[in-house]
Amino acid sequence: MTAQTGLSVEAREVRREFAVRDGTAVAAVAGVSLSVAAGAFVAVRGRSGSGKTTLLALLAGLDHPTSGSVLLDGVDLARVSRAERTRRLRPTGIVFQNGAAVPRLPVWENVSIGLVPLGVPMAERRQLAEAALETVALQHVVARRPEALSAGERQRAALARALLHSPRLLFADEPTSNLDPESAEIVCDVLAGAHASGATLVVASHDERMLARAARVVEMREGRLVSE
Amino acid sequence: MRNVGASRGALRVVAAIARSGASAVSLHRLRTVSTVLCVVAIVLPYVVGSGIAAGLRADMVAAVDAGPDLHVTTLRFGRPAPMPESAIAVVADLPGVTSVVPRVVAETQLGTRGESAVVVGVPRDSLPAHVSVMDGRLFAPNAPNELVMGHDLAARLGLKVGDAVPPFYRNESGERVSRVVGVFGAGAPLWASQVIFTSIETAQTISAEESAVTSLLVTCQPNYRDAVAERLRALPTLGPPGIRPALRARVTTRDDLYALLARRLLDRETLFQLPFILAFAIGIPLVLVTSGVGLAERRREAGLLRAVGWSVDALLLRSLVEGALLTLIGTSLSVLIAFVWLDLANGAGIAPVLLPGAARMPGFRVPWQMLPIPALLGLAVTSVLVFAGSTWSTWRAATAPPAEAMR
Repeated sequence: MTAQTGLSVEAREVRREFAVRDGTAVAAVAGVSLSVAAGAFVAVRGRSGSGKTTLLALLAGLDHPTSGSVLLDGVDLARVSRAERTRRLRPTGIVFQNGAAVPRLPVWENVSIGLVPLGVPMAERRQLAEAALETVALQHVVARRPEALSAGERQRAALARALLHSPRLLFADEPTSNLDPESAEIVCDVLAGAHASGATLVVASHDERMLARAARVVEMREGRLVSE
Repeated sequence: MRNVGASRGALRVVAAIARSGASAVSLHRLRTVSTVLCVVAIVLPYVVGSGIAAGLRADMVAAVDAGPDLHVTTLRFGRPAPMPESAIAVVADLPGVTSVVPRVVAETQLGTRGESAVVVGVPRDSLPAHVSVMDGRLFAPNAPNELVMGHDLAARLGLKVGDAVPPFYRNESGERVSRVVGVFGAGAPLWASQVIFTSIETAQTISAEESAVTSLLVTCQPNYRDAVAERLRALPTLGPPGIRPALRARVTTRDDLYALLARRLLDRETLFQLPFILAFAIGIPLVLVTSGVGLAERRREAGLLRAVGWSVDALLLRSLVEGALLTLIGTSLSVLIAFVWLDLANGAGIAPVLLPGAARMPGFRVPWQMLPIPALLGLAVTSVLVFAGSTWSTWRAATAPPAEAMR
């Protein structure tokens, strides 16, 4: 991976509420402010249900805050058009906790699907996908379907997809949660490598191996940042 | 590694997205199968019916093209009546007339199942040009009760050359056994399925109308047609002079026949198209529903694609290509099945709507012609339906926050 400049991301008093059946609202993220400088490696830890995943989705521009704002490289994502938002989020990448994939689509196509709207030819996409899968030790599953992969393999494939276009800002949600120790080590190394090449890295995890590599660790509890 | 995040030009982008849309057809199999079946259910009967209507029109136009300039029949009290053979000479003597062919046309029923047939008595040298004897011979002059049967009719009745036909008519001269002396094929399938040719005299005997004919086929010199028609209409009677009531000539020109055919066919086609207007109306919500089959999975997929950098426009284009392929597959399949339905199944089920009196499984060769317009019309209508269904659901999924769509 070539050296590059990371992107900064900042949450300002971000709140995200979800309506529940009885008509009330539950705040998954309740007024969080967090600034991640360009090139930083920040880990967010906390118990299940503490709001880590929602915070990551808000920072990655995949969800809209109920209140507050998210600034990507100094630009408030709520104040730009949908097309501009898509363009600004393009140099970012995300690894989902469940290794989300398009069913029935071969792994290499899943990994490289983000390159389709850029017009990258199929042969080149496959070549890039194979190289990315090799970095996460998944070169043997290139043509398989996601349904045929284990949870851990799906997660590593999601990591390969996130890394394919050399993102300047990378989010990873519990990237080692479904992995055996050996695979978890590979993932930690790959993420650390991405950070070393200049990418900003925000990881939600309670894996000590991952936390040990982060320059900064913040903790969430009941939707709030409680310690740093 | 070079910068793979850079876009490669609009054309390549569109091509790559379109290819992804095409592969989505095989990814969402349930949706593909249900939408294609729905399109087939709407388009197929329409294409089959239109094919039969086009075949009938072509047949009829060909028959009129090859026919005489004028058809002359007679009216008594304003109603059709047989004309005396003496009228032949009256018409033949009019200036500009080159030939007059008398004809006796009578409807009858044959066989134990009462197959309906049309007995046509004509001079043996005046058979229509598209009729040819396939087996046996023509009826002989002055030989009574010799029949030349249409090939399909003979097959339905199980008759062949040399077979005797039991008495199928009654008149004052008593019953007669007729004999099949020939079997004919015709360019127009309806002729071969319903017509029996015989001599004028035999047809007159069958109809119990000695010395009378039903119509005259009149051919004129170039540019004389209208003048001859006028003279005929102006004649006080075509019957013997002094006999009352008078027999007035009714003249039908070739142009009149074209107009009549167009009107009659249009009536039948309109009748045929009414159920399909209803089918299209029912098809709208049906296709909208099938377009949304697997919506939850496709919504998650849209969310994921948005999360990895797809724009709303790119997702809509992908959905549009997928929808276009589905309608194209559905319509192509409809046209293919329509060919089989028309050619092998002989338009079963739909032919009777356009051919009054025909059985649900017609016992004769139903004429058909596959024209591109009905298939293109079906493609256009179903495209609009499928696009409306899939674009709306894609738009909703694509404009929702990706995290929400993936939830």
